[in-house]
Amino acid sequence: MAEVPKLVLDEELARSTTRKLVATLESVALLVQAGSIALTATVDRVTTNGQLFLYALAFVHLLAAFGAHKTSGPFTRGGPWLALWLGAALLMPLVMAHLVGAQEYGASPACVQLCGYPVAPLTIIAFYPWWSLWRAHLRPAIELGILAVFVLEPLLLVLYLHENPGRANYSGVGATALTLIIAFIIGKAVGRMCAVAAEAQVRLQNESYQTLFNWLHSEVKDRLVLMRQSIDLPDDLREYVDQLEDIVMRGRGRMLLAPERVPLAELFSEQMRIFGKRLRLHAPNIGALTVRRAVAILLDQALADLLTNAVQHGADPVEVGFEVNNGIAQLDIIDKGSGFPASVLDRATTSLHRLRCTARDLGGDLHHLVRPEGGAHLRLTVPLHPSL
Amino acid sequence: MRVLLVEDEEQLAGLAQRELEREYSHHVIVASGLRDAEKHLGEQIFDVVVVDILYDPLVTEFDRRRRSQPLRPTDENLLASGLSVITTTLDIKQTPGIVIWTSGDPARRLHLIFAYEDLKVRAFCSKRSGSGSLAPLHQAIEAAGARRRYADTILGVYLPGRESFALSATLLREQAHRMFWRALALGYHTAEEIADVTPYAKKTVRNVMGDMLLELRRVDLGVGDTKKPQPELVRYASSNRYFFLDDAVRKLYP
Repeated sequence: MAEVPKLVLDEELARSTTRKLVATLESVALLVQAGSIALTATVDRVTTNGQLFLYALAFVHLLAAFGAHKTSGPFTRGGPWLALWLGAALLMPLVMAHLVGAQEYGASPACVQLCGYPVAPLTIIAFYPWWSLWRAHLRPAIELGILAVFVLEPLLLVLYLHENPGRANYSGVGATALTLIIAFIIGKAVGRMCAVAAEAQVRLQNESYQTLFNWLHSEVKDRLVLMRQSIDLPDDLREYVDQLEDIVMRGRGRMLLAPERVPLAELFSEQMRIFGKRLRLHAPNIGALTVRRAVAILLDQALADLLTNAVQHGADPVEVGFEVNNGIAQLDIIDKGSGFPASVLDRATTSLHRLRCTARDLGGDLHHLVRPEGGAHLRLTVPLHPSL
Repeated sequence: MRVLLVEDEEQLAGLAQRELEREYSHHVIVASGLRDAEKHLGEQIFDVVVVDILYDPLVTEFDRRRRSQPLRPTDENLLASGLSVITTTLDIKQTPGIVIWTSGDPARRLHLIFAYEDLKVRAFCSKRSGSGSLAPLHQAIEAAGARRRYADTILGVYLPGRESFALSATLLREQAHRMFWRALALGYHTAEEIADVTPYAKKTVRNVMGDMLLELRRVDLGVGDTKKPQPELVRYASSNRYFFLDDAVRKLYP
């Protein structure tokens, strides 16, 4: 049985989208941590040994950032790696209190020493799907618990280290708490952004699905009804079968032109099928060539217009040539009809003029070549790559 | 002519069999699957074998397997196709003529090129000729029986031009590259993932990606040059996964 398409944004899809987005950010988070440690070592009053230790720690974070960039970060790895990162963030206030001295820790009203260190893991923990889906109801409580520990830890340290904490101490602790709460809220906002991105993706898919469904309903189904009604009228039935085939093939052709790269053989094949009923065609070998979407649309239009032109002028047989030289695709349509003047390409109302404009927009052109033996020879050129 | 028609669509097979026998006096045996075809080829002598490339039940089963369990490029069986019947046919002493009777579509285009270049198939007939008649198939059978070339305009455009680089000299040239194409086609996209499922190191994977893009650009001039080849390789491998994971191709190019 054919698989049933799924166009629903469920928790699983939202989680996998978030995972993919975050995977690229973890190395940046570690890099930011390395920077803040180095800054603290340079700016804050720490002992010489303490300074050396902090520089070494910054270097370790730099290496971790490199490792996360090359492989994956703590959240993506999960388990002990995640615990290690959060553990380091919890340990850091104790380390700083030791390095700067009991009275110096939290002395600045701006923020306690290295208060930015837990910001990155706390932001990510707010939105990353690190907790299993089947116990999702416990997650808010656990998150708030973690946030509370990070917020309260500097306060408890200040209360423990200072006999009479002053206004500056409380101000520093308050600013730290505010920074961490804001980081957590930003994390939640990022989580929402990821969900919105996934929703937008699903909406887009839904629209495409709806278009396809409507097409099946309005065009294909109608023809099927007509076919059923004319089952005893062979001539009518044959006509409806032809119409249905054309409808399906046109729809297929439109879908073929949707992706970024289009296999050219498929495009030619489709036009050969349509016009092969009315013209004797000599087609080129295209092989594995693909072209960017804009070029594919141009070539598809060119084949349709030029072959329609040949049908209208009774120019049978028609030779279709195609080659690529130095990155320029060249399409030749040669027929043995009565021919037409080159000035047709300059008349703004003609399809050939519009075709030439599109070709020129893409860096190519449409030429009317002289053919002494009679008939018409049109050559369309277009660069395969936009830089040429 | 004694014709073996390998076709899984029962109604189409029956229709083709009747018309080829009634209108063109061929003697047609229908095989509904690859195993059935191989059995007939072992038991009887045929003048021509008519074969499709991809068979829906096999493709559906492969896709289901791919989604439900992690497959590896080195697995013995991935996707069987009409190319397997062709290779079996080519092993027969009095080799029958071969006709590829298929609908041209993007998923089959590398198979068609491979059949032309490596398996030397020269008769190609489209299933959707537009007329509804089986006259083109009859012409293709006659041509294959007489070892003449035949390609209708619908399928002929899929065949390689004279100046094209062969798949064997590009995408299939290096064993390591083939392995990486297969890993990419199975959805292993990063060097780490590819190294996990192939006998090659991450470094090797990263080092050859540039060369793989170069080979791809020889086959497909439309592929642009880029400093980051991986996304382009992933896209190409995904859209041609049925070719890269084809059992017959993997057997000839391990």
